[in-house]
Amino acid sequence: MASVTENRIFSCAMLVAVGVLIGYVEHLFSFVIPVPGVKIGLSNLVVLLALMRYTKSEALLIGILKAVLNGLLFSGGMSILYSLLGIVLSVLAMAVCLRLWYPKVLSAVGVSIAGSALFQVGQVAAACLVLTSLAPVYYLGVLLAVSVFSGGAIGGLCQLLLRRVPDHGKPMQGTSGPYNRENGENE
Amino acid sequence: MKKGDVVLGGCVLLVAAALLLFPYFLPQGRVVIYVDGTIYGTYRMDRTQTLRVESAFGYNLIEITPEGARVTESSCENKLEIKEGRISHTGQSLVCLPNHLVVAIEGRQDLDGFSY
Repeated sequence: MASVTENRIFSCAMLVAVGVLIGYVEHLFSFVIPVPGVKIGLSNLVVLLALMRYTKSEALLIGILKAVLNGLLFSGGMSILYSLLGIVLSVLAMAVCLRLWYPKVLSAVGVSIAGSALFQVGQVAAACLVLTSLAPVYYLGVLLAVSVFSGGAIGGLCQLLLRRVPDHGKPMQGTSGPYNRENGENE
Repeated sequence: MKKGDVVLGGCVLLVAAALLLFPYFLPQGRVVIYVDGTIYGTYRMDRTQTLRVESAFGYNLIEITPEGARVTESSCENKLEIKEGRISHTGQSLVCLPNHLVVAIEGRQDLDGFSY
């Protein structure tokens, strides 16, 4: 019998795996985007989903694991540092938005835009620290402009997912799906 | 979608536009090349020259013309700073993270213009 906590651990691990996979696919198609250095960051979808369904710390953990794995697997070692600072700021921004304004003022789209924008700020800040120069700030303009659209798209996708994907992290009641092991029906 | 989403997106776009357009309101400056955070050299933009910058991290070929500066060759893998093209206005910069190289155009800091 799997407990609720175990289900939650499975769900988080699955989200990390999905995030790494999305990162890989995006890495394969990175030549499609004409602006150098710009990524859509579609894998941040899993972080947003975790933040909305689970807790802040779980989302942060998923984000950090995803950033480290993606960095080690697909891009150079130093890029981990940039995306780590980005993901931490991004999760913080989204957590604040969710707490203060969701769902009254902002929908998932707005929360995602805030996260995306702060991700770029974190990335550029890390680059500034590495180079001990403010020069990367110039790039922030392009990155922020793109983040509004990519962040918005990710937010829209997240809304769809919230509606369609069942929440395996919680015990499901009244159904006997393959993941509902609470009653021991499928064991 | 909520109203707040549009407002937030608009604000971020405004900041982005401000960051991108700001350099065009500043007078033309000089090209400053940094390697690993320290100034490698400062160059005027009134004549054409090609520089080879070598460091422990790699090498870059930088072309400076009156129209601006660009990186023409790099030992790094992604060559993002080459794809970025030419920069010409104060505040713009080219960054090659793997080589710890920054090519920036900075405003004139000297006070010659004022000390008649």
